[in-house]
Amino acid sequence: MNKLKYLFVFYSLFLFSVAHAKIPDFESFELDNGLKVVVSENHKAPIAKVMLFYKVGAMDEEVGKSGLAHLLEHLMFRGTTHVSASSFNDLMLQNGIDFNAFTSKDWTVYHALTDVSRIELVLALEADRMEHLIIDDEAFQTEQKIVYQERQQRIENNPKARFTEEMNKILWQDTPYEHPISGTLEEINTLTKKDALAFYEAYYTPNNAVLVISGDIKASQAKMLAEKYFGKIKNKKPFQKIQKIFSKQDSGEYVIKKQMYDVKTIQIKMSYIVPSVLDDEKTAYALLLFSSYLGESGHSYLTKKLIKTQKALSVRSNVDLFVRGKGEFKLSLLPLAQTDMSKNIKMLEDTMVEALCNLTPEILELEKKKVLSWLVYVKDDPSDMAHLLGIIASLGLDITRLEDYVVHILNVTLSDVQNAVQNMLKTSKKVTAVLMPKNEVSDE
Amino acid sequence: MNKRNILLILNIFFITLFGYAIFVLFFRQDMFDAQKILKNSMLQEKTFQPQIEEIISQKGIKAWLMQEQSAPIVALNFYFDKAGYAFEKEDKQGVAVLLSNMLEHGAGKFNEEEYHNILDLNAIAIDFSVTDNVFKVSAITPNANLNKTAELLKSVLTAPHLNQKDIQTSKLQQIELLKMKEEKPERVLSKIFREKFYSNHPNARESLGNVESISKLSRKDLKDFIAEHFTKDQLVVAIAGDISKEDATAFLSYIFDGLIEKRNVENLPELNVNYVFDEENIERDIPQVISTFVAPGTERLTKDFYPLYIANEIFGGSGLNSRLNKVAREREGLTYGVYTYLKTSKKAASIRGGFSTSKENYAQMKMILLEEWQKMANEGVTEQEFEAIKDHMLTSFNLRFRSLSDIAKQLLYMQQEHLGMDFLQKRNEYIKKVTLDEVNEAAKKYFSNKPSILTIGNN
Repeated sequence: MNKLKYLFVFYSLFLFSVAHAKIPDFESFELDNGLKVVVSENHKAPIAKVMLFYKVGAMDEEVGKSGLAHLLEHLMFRGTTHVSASSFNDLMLQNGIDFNAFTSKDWTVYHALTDVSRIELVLALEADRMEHLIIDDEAFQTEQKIVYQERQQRIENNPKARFTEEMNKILWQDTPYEHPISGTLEEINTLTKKDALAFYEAYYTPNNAVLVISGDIKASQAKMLAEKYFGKIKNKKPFQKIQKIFSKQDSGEYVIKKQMYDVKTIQIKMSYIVPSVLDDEKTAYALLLFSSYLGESGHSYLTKKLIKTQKALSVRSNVDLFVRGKGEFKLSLLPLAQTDMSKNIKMLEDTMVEALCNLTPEILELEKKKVLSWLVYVKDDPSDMAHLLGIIASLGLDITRLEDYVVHILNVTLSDVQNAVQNMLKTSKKVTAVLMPKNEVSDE
Repeated sequence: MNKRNILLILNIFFITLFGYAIFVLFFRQDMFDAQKILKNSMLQEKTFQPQIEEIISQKGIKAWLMQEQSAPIVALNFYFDKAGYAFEKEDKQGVAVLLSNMLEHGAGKFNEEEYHNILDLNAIAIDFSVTDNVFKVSAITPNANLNKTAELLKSVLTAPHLNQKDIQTSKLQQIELLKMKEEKPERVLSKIFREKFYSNHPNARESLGNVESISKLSRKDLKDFIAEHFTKDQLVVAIAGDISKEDATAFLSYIFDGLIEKRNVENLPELNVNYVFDEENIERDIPQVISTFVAPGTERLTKDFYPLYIANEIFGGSGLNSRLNKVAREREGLTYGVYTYLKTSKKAASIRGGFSTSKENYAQMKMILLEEWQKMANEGVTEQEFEAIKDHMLTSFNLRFRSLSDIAKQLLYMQQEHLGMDFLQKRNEYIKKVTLDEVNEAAKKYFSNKPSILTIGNN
């Protein structure tokens, strides 16, 4: 079981869990400087996961500066006024701390899995680099080269990754999600140290961050430590976040077909822009349940109708709803009959409509139950728990008033799902993308 | 000394003092004192002594059990030894992977839909996977659903439906997966590497099989594979979680007691791997060169293991802090990362590694690798590096107990590698006992062999 796959489903479980009074022990509070802190106890082993979410990602980059959020993430490991260039990594290593960071469209996250005896060291190092980063010219140039290499390795070497990026570019055109997270090769090279420092000054402040501590520590102790290390950090300037605009008229249908060398299979992908959980909670949860029924659960509707009848080799759906911008409803298909792609596309669309027609209140209740059943695993892995709580808190959802959300989910009705899906089919911007092998001889 | 001289000296003195004051006030920040933070930490190291015991089913099947009550969950991991893809008959390649997929299509009294509904409604997950040597199953369940899990697993192992139509679809999927592997340059590189390293030995095989062999696989082949490999004598089991010894024993008996006792599985031909070959490149139109390399290593239970492990961590195993990354990544910016690791497989023990870099960087990158490699052989490691890695290995010990599936995996690994039931108690002692001299001897012994390199994209 890929537990992270269930992460977003976990969120809804979480909500159910309040209703069922089984909620794992956690506490949430805010320091005077605005840093949000969430603590979750897990006493299995004497270890803890510490995650620091900054509410900034690729979506906050200015036009022409793609890759800046990610480059800054790299620079955060290159020393502060108190910790010299490589001693950050040395200290982490010597203390057996499993540490890393990642950047997404929405967030930049620094995380560490550590023995409890080293929690304070991790907190001290995180607090220090929230305030005292220095960017040395040489280190800047080296990291710029490294992220360039990283982009080549992850994206440029791999035709499918390039294809997905091209598709996203069309789907998110003229919105803040347009930037590839790793940046384009051209733009990475034009980023400057000044850009990075300005980004750091603007976004790396206590009131734009969420600290999560999950593991073998009492909530009261974690509270004292958060206060001790982060309490004195001042916000750099009156923090004014630029509200990123997603245009209201995201509509229209786009189809892209692409042939690439080194591609050996045909793949069809379809994406719709949909309301996120922040835009419209009712719709978001309706879509979450629909996707689970349509193409996520073990024996989903799409599996039954397309795989079992030997019309496709693989088919699935999935949703991104716990995001700062707009949500996305995704479908992917590996067709069996490789002749007429428009037939395959139509088959996928028709099956989705048919799934909606065949959805009954009983099936919907069953789907809620399936989603609910996974609740129990939230207690197992402190890392999963930290990730989940970090996203909820970073979205600004009030985790101390979960009951309100529980009601929203439990109240999802058949007609909510019908409305949400019909709305998506009628009005959402949609991109269909077909990737096919390129025949090396005939195409010359 | 005249007055003017005294004044001059005083002036210098005051200017110096003033300068120092300015320095203290404005420039000298409080340096980060990690030792002080650790010493004064609210939470200190805890002795964490997880207890493992052996349980035995009515019919004599043994399992390692770790009871862990922090969550109402049980993880069960097991494998059949000598049941991986290397043990398939020459013309049946791909049958193990095909079976691992076919086991999810209904078994016993459950059709496919019922099987998946029971899993989803009860938060039970059952995964099948295949390596070169073993056929592996990992399951996790809330302890309230143990009986359902046991029933599903028993059905899967003894009465999978294996419907013709599903077999046909699964075969087509497997062929598609085979094609997808060819889309990824790293996969192509690793396939050709295995062919060079293992030559004709079955370990060189592609786990999915090949188009020809997959196309010919039949229902009977799947049944034969089960009959030959799902036997008690090859079974290794680990259980972790909130379960009593009695329940764990009953669980074990219910699932496995009905299995066939034993079958004779032929041993693989003697391995005779090629550690030494000339550098070779696979042509491919990609912006980077991806490289993989190999040199002889040591097996898990040899006296060289821990010394070489430490040497390798310092060299290329410890991520951003390794020597290779400090030079090639942190200093030169040539690569997103370079890594090395030890492979401890019998008769094929090796130091393995790899990196990706732009074509124009490749020559420099390779030079750094070879220079650092030579430096390990000639000079070994410093005392400071040695102590840092030891501290790292000791303080990261507990991280392996993050989730119950991690714990079950660990228990299975300990059995697979014959580390002994008291390994978790002894492990940190093993590390502490290693001396700097031993590490440097191992570095000299193993890094004196030059690595053999294979690349893709270096056109």
